[in-house]
Amino acid sequence: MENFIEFLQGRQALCLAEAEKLARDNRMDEANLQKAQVNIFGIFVTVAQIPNQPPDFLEHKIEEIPLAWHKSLEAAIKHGDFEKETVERAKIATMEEIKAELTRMQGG
Amino acid sequence: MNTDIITLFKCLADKSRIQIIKSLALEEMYVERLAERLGLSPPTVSFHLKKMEAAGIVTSRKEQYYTVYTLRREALTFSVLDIITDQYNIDTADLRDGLYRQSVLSNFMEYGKLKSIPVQSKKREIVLEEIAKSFRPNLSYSERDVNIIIADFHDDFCTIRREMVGLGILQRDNGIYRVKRS
Repeated sequence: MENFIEFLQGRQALCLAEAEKLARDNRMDEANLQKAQVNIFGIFVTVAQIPNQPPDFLEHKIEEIPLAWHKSLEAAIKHGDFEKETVERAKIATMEEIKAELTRMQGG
Repeated sequence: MNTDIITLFKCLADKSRIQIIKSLALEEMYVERLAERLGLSPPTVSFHLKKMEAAGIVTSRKEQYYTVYTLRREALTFSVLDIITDQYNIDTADLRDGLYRQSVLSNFMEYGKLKSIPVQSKKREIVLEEIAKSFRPNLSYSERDVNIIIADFHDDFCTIRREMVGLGILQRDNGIYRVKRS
């Protein structure tokens, strides 16, 4: 679990640094996408640090948390809202990255 | 020049999009080519181009597997002062009010649905006035009709209907409702 939290915090710090760099470079939309990733890594740092987790707690959260994003993505596509679509896709891709890393660490 | 000036300036205030404009000023290009040229990912370039298209800066056309983007030069060859004085020849208080309304509506409404009923009365009034636009000014509505119209926005149509009557947005007389003329 410690390794997983280290991974999340590392990625969170990298995304935050990238967001700050993009903002300084006047690329605010790209910076905001990075900030969305920072938030997701942050959510999972918090989730992973919850004490006395039942078995498969993290796996369950990884499946549960993005359900609303998938719904929101569907609605954005349906209504041609490309800005929201881009944000939701970035959030889902970040979650996939987290899921893949957890699976890798568990030796899956 | 029909594009809203704020949308246009917001769109231009981004380094990546300025670089895209510089590239498209040389020749029309498709997403992948622009991405390679600017060192950005194709989804990022695609996002910027869609935003630029919405602001009227570029146009697109399908060509086999690619979407080719062209710069709309006429959208950028304007005098900033002319366009500001032309479009915003209105009272600044009206402008501020309009921007506030827009921000409230975008926070509380999504794709024509009310996400939640605002607690703050000023914001609630703005949202209810927006819902009132679905009523035709000269028509009379039964309570059932009113509920059906409001239910398109939010499940709690009773609360919203009562609030609209309370604020005078809807007028009720013997069970018949009419929207107040604005």
